[in-house]
Amino acid sequence: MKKWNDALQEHLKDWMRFQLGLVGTRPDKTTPQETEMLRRLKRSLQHREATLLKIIVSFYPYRIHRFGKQENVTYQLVISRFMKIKQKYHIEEQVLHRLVKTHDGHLLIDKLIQKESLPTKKISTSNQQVDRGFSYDRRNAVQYAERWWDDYNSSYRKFTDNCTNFISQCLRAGGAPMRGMPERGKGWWYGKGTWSYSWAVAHSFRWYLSSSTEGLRASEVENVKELGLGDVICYDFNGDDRWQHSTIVTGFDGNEEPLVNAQTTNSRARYWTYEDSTAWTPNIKYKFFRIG
Amino acid sequence: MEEAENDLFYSQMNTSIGPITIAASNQGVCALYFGESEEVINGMKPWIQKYKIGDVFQEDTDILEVAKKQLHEYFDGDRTEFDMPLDLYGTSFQRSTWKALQQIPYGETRSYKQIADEIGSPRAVRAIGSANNKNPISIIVPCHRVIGSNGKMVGYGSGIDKKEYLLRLEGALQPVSS
Repeated sequence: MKKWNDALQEHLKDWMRFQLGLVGTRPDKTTPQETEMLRRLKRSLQHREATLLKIIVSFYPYRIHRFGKQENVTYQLVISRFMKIKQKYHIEEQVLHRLVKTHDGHLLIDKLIQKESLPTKKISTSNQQVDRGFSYDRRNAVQYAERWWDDYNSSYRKFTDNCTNFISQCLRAGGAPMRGMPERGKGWWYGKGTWSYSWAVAHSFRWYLSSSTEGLRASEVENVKELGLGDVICYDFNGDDRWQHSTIVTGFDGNEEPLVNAQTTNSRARYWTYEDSTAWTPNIKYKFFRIG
Repeated sequence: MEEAENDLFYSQMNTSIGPITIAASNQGVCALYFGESEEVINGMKPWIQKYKIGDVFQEDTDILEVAKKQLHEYFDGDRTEFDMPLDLYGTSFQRSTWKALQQIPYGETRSYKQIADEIGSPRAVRAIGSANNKNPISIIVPCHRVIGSNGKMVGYGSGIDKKEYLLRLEGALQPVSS
């Protein structure tokens, strides 16, 4: 009984010590993707001249699968990282769902079980008509992102991959006008029991933002430093022109670089590059959108 | 990218008010119904498919050990709150109702009217009743703590006897005297 518990605790301690630089050897029971991710995270911290002051984790197991001496445990991992960059402090938070496999109290592997991104679907094309502007309330959008990053507003459907649905809700909270209802391939909208592709699908959302001239609109900028609070970043992790993820800017670190909130993986004040994600590849592409 | 392990695991446990079936997706506990597992899982299938909660059903006795332990403690009167990740699926209205239910403390009750007021739809009393009935995680999301405005036990999907049992266990009902 509970042999897995000690093994997991030891492993998580190693995992934290490595990130804090207290030990030089990486934890050896992670998947190759996560080992790479941890290395990238450390390089990224160096590059940002960031000091990781403290990590706090808690874990909540909810599925324990036993066969013979093997125990596989699915658990929720809540992580807070306290960071300092050039006299500025911030706390980054993440909630992950993970699977740890143990045999007779020895840890075999510990890995992430959810995808970081949405499968891609249809591209939305939109007919643009009259140009109507809107005033974007950035503060409301950010407040919404801070309230709901690890929760689900019951006014909206919860998707198994919720990333773009979450960003759309933030923009809506900032006063972005909907249009195109009820045609799902048109505009950007959420209605009773139905929604546009652009509302919930990362790929459609990215193309909506670069093409819309009416209702919710955005302008693409070249440099991430041109983004402000409430602006949006889109991600193509593999560089194959299928856009898979969206985040919203909710703050800035000591280098004035954006920190983002996002869902699936639920994250708060995460460094915008996503180098700390297993989905990251060297071919990653970003689009930076100024909203409004 | 990691593969998503999308199996749905379920397990039956026996309690002082009969068998209970619990299920967990890879995001957390997603169902708790009164009844034996075979019957419960068959009844759940359309809902699981509708919300794409899992692909394959697998029965496993130990897998929900954490939830079972907490439930046993609850039935022994040693636990007043549950602490485990939940994965709740339903319509917007249902989810806001269930959220309101989760705020009712152990040993207390609320009327359907109070819940309707709580979620800002004071005239939706009937709809609250229906959302209450569709609660996929009985006991943990305490739909049994909602009663009629006159204090009467009304509707409980799994039978009024179960509702009375739970409320009596929590000390929210005085023992019946004859």
